[in-house]
Amino acid sequence: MLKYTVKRVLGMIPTLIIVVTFVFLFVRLIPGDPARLVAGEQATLEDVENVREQLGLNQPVYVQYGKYVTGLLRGDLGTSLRTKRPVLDEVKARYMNTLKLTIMALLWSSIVGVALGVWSGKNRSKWQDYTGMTVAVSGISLPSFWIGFLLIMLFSVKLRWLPTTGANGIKGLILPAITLGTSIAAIIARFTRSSIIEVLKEDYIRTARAKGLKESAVTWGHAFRNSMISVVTVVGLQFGFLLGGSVVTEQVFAFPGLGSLLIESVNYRDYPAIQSLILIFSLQFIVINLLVDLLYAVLNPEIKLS
Amino acid sequence: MKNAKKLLALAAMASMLMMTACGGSKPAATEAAKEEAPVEAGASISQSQDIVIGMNVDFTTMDPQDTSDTISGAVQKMMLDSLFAFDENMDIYPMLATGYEANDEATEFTINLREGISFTDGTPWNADALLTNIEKWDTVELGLKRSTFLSSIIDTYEKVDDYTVKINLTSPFGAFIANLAHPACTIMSPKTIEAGVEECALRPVGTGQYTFVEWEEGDHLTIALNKDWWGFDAEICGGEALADSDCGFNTVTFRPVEESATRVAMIQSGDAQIIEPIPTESVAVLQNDPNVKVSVENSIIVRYLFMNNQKEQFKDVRVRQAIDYAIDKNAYCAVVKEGLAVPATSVIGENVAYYKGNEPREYNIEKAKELLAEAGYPDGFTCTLTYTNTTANQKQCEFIKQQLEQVGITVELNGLESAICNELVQAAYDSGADSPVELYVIGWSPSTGDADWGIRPLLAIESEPPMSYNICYYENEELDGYIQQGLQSADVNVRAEAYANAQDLVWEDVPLVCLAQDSNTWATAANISGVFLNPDGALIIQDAKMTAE
Repeated sequence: MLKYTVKRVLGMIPTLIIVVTFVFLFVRLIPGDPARLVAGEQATLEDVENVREQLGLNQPVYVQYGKYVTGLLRGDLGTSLRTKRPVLDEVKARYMNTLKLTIMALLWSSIVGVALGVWSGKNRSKWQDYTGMTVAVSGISLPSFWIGFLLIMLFSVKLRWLPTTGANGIKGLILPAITLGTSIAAIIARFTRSSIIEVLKEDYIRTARAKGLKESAVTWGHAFRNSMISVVTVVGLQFGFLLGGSVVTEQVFAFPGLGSLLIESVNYRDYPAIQSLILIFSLQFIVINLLVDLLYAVLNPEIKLS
Repeated sequence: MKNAKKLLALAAMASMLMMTACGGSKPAATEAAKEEAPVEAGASISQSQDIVIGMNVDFTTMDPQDTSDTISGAVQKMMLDSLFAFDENMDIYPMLATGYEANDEATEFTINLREGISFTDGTPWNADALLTNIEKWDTVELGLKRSTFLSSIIDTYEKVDDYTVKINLTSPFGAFIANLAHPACTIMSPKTIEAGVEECALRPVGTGQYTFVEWEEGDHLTIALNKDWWGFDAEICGGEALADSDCGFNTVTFRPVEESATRVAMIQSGDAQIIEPIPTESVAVLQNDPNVKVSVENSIIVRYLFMNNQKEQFKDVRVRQAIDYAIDKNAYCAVVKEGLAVPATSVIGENVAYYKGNEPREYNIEKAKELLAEAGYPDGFTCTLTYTNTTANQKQCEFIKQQLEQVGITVELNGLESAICNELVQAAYDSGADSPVELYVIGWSPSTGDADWGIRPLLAIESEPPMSYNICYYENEELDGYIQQGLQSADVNVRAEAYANAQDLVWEDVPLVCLAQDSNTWATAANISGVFLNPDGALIIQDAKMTAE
């Protein structure tokens, strides 16, 4: 397994080189002049040219690329065109916010989603199943900004229990985490349900029941573990998506996360920030995929990593 | 899985569109804040209060010379004083200066400085401190966004004595003092300036009513009251203190909250004590909330419909006038602005220096058709309206399209993402006729509060793209004459006459349609007084007080 891991980690390098190069070139293909955007409204041509020179945007693209790559090797993500601060500093604080929010959202949605899914799947086509799936479909269908506003109206404006905005402490995370996790809980519930239904049809389940195991032992000991493979894949994917920041939820709660940073960076054509964020997102996906693959082996020893 | 995500996104977008489409009931007619009773001396508890202000955009930098947005400029002005400043009527009053003298040609300005003031880092305020600041304003190599704002006009500067500085300009510039009152020209501590541009951008130090505490980008920025501020001291102020000694809050935390509905929830829940702006659809809701005080005041932002004067159709003044007649400005204010605007009466807003109002052209379709027929377009014509596709712009452009259709002009809408739109509009073309832009909408707020910056960047020949914003490609020597006349004099009467002529000319020749003058909106907790928004959109809390509930 160690050998496999090392191989996979080394395999990341060419992917990252491709990502770095392509992103560098593609952001420059988007129409829009960062110098003019940074110079702002009411800027004269002279201001714009001045800013362009200051930001180094008047240099040939290959020179800019060289600087960017050598910077990366030293762990320097460059300087934001928009704020003129090191991109690393900008990303760091926001990354921690997004990470906290993601973990909190994923934690509750996994627990609730799996429980709901198992409950529905076990009682297929009974009232429990219909109830569970109605809840799940609602969770997917309700737009998150609408859920967010309802939560603010109830818990902040009416009851005044929780803050409307900000990322300070656990209290500030609760409402965004509920908003963000609702659709994910629903998705996990649906995957768990169908997976459980599949597994419950297997011969070994019949055998387990035939040899007189308690129903709870059959469900949790045999069916649950085997049905988790597809669920882990979904959770892993969602983890990756959420770590990219959620624009809608961040917007509703004025939450300083990566999603809003990416949007602002794109609006300003802040090349170094866009490059760094996409590089980070790619890196995250690669690492999460690796972790998911390793988890498969833990869940099902029959899967050989090679 | 992927499809599910896409569908979700689509559903969310559809519902959002629906929400904007049916946005709320119409607010009551534009009205000033509920009359504020003066707070008795000693009744204000504000100096022991920590308050939160929710605003719609994030700050960009704390370096005034590198600032191009109103909100960053406004918070800098709470920490950094300037030589001269604007009051709520956009009139200029002296702050760190006590006065100035200028020669008739408006090329030499001698500025007298106020004595007895220190920066919050202990450095004394005097001629040397001002020279350090002027030197920074004059250093184009720093590459700051407002580097050319003063550097192109400042020639030499010298210390006359410890509290007098003389500045010589490269060419006559009548609006120089107004420029010094511009937010870009607030004064920083020489120590901060010497520490470099990054220090200026992140940890500003000035002589102001507040001092900088911390700034976590995207989350909050906090400032704290400077109880030793010179503005509280009647003696230094020369008779009357700038603010009562019980004004101001212990700390003020600004939170960027782009989502309007969330900002409204913040003030309703008590999470914020001040918010600005209020989304138009929420004004009525907040007006009915007994814990909230709503204010609606004129701004100096004027909305225009630009016409490319070098395109065949718009060369004829009759066509341009016809378009002005064809757009119902009252309906525009009611429909597009939900009543939070008034029809424009000049190319500049009412509170801009040297404003002269004109009678708006009455909405008259028949007259418009007549003029079009006279100009050789009895059946109208087709043209394209280019704009940045924000929700607000989409709304106003659809309104314009609908209005012009009534007189036979077919408008094709071309909404573009802002950066792409800017690039298209601002590119260098050989002449206006080569520009792909025919009609364009823009809002402009002259941040110097002076007629010069409200007219020259939009209509002077020198301002054609890519230099500046004469996207009308309007070339009128007579107008340029008036602009130069106003620019090259420091004499109030000469300038007033020049700008009156300029405004009359623009009104008659209609190079652009002046649609409306926007209103500023803000809300405070009911027990806060003395908070207002300058017509240029800058939040002013200098005289803020708070009474116990």
